[in-house]
Amino acid sequence: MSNIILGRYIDGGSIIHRMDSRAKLILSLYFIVIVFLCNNWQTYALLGIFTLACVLLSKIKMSFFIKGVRPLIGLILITVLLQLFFTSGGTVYWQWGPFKLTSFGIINSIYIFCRIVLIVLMSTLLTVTTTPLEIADGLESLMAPLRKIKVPVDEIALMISIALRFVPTLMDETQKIINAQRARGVNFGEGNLFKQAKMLIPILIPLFVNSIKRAEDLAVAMEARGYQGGPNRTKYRQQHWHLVDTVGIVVFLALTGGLMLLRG
Amino acid sequence: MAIEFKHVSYTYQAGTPFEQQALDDISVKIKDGSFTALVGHTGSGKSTFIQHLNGLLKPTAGEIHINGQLITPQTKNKELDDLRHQVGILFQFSENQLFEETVLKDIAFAPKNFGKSESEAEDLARAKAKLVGIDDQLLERSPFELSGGQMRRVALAGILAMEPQILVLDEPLIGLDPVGKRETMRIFKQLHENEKMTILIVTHNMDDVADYADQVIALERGKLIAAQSKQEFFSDPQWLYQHHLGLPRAAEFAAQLMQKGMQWDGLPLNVDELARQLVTKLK
Repeated sequence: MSNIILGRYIDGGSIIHRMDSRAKLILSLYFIVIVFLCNNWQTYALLGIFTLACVLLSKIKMSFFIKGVRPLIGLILITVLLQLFFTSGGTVYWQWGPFKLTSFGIINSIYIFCRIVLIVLMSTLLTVTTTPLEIADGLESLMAPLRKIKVPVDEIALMISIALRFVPTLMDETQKIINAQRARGVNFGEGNLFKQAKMLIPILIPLFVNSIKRAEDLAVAMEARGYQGGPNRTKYRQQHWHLVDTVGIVVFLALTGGLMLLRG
Repeated sequence: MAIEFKHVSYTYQAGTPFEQQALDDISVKIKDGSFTALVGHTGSGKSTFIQHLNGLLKPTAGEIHINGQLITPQTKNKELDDLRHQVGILFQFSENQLFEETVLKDIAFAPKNFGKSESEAEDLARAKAKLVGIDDQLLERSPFELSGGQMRRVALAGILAMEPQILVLDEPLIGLDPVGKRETMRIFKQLHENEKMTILIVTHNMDDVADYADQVIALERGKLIAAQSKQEFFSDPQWLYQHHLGLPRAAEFAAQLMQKGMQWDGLPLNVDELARQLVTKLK
């Protein structure tokens, strides 16, 4: 469990850490859009250099980002292999039944590889430089217009922040329950698939029971402190849009312009 | 020698930005049949320490000998089954580990995992339930219908059903009422005296240390700062305060009287001892 780094925050005082979470959210989403603008090596080079610069700006060790890509290697490999052997067009180098290796296929698979790595890097950058609570606040603020179409934005925001708040607690608890059951002789990760699935019962039942108990306690505690829901609550954590954020947006727009120019 | 730690260190998530050293060069011995208290501040490494005792964690450096089994950083999980059988750990808030449909089944869970047949396991479960004071009529009930104290006892019975030689208790009294606490400690004392179990208890309550333990191990920020008999451990109030550890209440009272000029023949650690010494002094 400790190998998953997506969604983990690393403290640091870099310029990217200090950016407004709304700006970071918009830009991360926007980045996924502009990745699809790339269609030749110049555009990928530009975007690669840009991503690298962002990673360097965050002052977080490169090795950490590489570890972030590692769990996705299976997915990346499958996608790349599919592209490599099932793309037609260009010069055909090798063919065997439905499989063929073509120049288009090679180029496409390299592009796909770059695309996935770039997106993963950017998303990792978002989560390691932004605390989960900041992300929840940012989402709430970005969802605000949805109130007009009767979406319960405040409740959703509260749900997200409570959920995020309890991720570490539940992880801890899961680990404790696993330990307790291992001490009672359960050997996790052994035997066939059916056996392994059965081993989950001693973990999942206590975990569900505790979560429901905890939810009830929390609800009572919230009501006792005067919570009634609805949009009339004030906000304690205020968000501030700084110059950095505007600069970030401008840089991204400039980047988009650059990509459009270099596009083949 | 039941348990021996030789220069044991443990680091969580080594090689990541979240790296954290929890145990630092610990060397300590715990004798067979002893009743040992493990004390220390929150975050001093107590929970990490006890997870080494049955191989839930393996040291990142050093070696551990438990009942003739050697655990090193290279030890494989398969080799630890036997050890798990010999060392029963009752974790904090152990009532959270219950999951079966009935109390009986939950208590029988561990012996079944360690290769006992269905009927053997149930016989063991009944015997251990009796030992910790669970009524027969509760055995067919769901564990989730019981009170917190009763659930704690079911969890304890579930560990005892493994018939461990070493019993490790991680703050087993938290959240129990005074009667529940006394009852539970009485059970531990019985197990220690009648079944000759080696007991290691993690606690913050110095009164319990004074009443039940015969030796004390103290940790501070992952380092061993004391491993001695309880008389030695409580002999220097100044040192205890410096390390944010306390005295038992009787000793606390005696230490305050000492400041006013009272002389003791060794600081009394419990109320009986305090009363006895006071009576002789006042005569």
